[in-house]
Amino acid sequence: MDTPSGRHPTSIRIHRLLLLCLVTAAFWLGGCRHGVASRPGALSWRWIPIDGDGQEEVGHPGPADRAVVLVFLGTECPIAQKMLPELDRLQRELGPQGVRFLSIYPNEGETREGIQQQRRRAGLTGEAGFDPGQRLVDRWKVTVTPEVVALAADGSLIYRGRVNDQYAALGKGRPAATRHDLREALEAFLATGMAEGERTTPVGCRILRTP
Amino acid sequence: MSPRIAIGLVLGSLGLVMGRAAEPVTFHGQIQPLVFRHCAGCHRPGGAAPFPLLTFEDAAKRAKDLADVTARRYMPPWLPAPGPHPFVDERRMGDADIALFRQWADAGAPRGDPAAAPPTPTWPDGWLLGHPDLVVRLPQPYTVPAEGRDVYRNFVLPLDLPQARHVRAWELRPHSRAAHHAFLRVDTTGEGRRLDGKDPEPGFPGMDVPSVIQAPGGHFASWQPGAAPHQYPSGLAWTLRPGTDLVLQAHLQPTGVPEPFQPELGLYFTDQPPTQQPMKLGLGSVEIDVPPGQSNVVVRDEFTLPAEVDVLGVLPHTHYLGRRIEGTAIRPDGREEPLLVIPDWDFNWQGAYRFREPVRLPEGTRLRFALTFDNTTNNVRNPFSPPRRARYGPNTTDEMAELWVQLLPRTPEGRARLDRALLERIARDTVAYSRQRLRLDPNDGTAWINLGKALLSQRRLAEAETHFRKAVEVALDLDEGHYYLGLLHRIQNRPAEARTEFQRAIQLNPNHARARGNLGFVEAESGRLPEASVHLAEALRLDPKDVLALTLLGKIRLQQGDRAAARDLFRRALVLDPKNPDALEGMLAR
Repeated sequence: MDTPSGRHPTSIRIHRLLLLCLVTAAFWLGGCRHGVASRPGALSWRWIPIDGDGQEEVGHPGPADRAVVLVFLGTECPIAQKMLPELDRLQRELGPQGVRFLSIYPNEGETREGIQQQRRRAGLTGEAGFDPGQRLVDRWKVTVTPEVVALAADGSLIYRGRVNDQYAALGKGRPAATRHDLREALEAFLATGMAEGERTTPVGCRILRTP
Repeated sequence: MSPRIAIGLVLGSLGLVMGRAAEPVTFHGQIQPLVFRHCAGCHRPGGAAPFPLLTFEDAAKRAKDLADVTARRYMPPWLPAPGPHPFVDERRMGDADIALFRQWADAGAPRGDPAAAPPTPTWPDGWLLGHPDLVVRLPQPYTVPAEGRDVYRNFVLPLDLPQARHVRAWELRPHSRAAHHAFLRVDTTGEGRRLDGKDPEPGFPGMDVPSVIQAPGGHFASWQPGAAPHQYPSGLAWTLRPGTDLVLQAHLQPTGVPEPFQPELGLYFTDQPPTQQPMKLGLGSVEIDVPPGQSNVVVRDEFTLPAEVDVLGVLPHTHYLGRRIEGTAIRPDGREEPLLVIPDWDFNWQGAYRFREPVRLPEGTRLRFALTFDNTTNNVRNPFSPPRRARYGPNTTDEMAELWVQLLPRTPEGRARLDRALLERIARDTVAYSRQRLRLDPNDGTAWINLGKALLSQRRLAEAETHFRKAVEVALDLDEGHYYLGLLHRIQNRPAEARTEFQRAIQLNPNHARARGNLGFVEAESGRLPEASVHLAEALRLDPKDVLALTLLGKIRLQQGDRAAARDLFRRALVLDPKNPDALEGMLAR
């Protein structure tokens, strides 16, 4: 197992992934096949960071990361776009407390330029990347954007589902959210250290892939 | 028939059925023509929708979503249930077509034969009706914030028309995903520009605009994304006079990123002046009080037609708790006909509906409106969880219940009767509306004025005065309050006080044309003709259609010996009001 070297420079190149797979295979084979392992102590993710050189990389929680939130987004989904200010706020408020947000763009047809343009318009900073082969989607059985999977650094599930309750279905929305599920789950985790594994049904646009 | 032949026929037809069922649904074969017809108006590059759907690549990766949203009838967005009176440009997709989307998705979204693809529609210049006669663009973009409550803002589109033009069609291109719906309004007074000038950003806020900013002559002039551009039938154009501004009342929704809003409006003119003007009946109530947890609270209203009419269109309006809307015509023989039924209202897709053929209704027909509120958690659009008591109010978290009906009386006598009946209703509604507003906010100056106006129309002068005084007391910068105090003092024959109030109104709003005109009258009645001339000329500059100011200034010019100027003023008055006795007399004067 590689030793994480810090909060942000935690990604290693794909050739090192092979080593990771070999080492972890004895414990849990699915982690390498699917992209993210949930076995405590083995949280990692394989993706193509948007600001990188286009190569797949494997990331791990850094020493300061208490939780990692995989945020599945799509640039063409209006509901996903509507969540960006809330995600930005969460990152700014909870980031310093050890919650690391990864924006993952799994949809077919996404471009680096399109993603960067939308993130610039939303004023979003933080890490973002593609999900090659939609392996993270498959691993976490993600169905729509926006959908979040919040994991403790040891890989146990804190929360998964919607960001908040503003939408009950595509096109069925309230003027503003009345429940902020992701925020509540993360704040509870930060307060207690307990990963409760709560789930809600996410509402948004189906993950795009040509059949 | 022999058993063998019968079996053969059965098997043969079974084979036919099976053969047809097995015929694959493909993109180029069945789906693309449907997409072009029902979706491409918005789902095209540069269109109102968040992504295009023109090509196989666009559509195939969304095959399951397309099947879902069409099956739920979320897309294409069309709220009314099918009824006996179809609407223009109905975007309702048939059940058989919806089933094709499901079959295509289930089959793995096959492409089919590209050679079978229908021709891709084109949008020359982006305008659906071809290039407009006049394009007006909002001079400066307004930026809709990334999040927060919906924005209601009014944007002035100056026209600077050198001559009167008759509008036969118009199209709005918002160039922004934040644009949710809008109404086009006409301002002949410059009031919109004044309010715009008071606000540092483009436009001025509010769902309610001053009453001088009006819908164009009896039309709804409503816009929503994807709706077909407005085209008026022959004789029903509306006229724009020189000096008129258009005001776009826009409902803008935050999208998650700051959105610039700089719409373009295309106007299409005709040489044919309007021959008729529709009238609008407002059915509804401000007596709304929906307790939390109640799913079946119904608000009703009714109106009996005093004359035979053609119903041209309807415009429903409610907010997030309104669920079912019904507008029904009950003919004098008791037959009931739905005009509009919306089983599951969606605030986000509100708009006006125009009947494909006008609905002719005889005198004595009752128009009935019923709106059902659902203030439970089952209503997923409920702004509050747990639900809270909802009452009437202009904010989207308050509630409203309205159905506007656009009527065209069949005869001049019928028009006069309808006009009287509508005025009575408006007076009644204004009182109810103002009382409701004052319950919510006792410092609502406009509500005090509206109640005062209702009392004034009943000649209850002392009570009216109390209300107008209250208005200027609670809202110090309310020019209308001073204007109505001035008017009241004119009626009470208190010229000095009237003069002071009109001057105060003009001080607060230099574009207040009616205050200028009335000040001219006060000065003329006091024998101060030069002062009167100045105020009347200014009133006419602000509102060239003020017939009273035209005739009075004409009389003053006659007295001053300027016959040419007087005749010109009387002529202008007669163009607007051909039977005006003062103008006729003035023209004959020697």
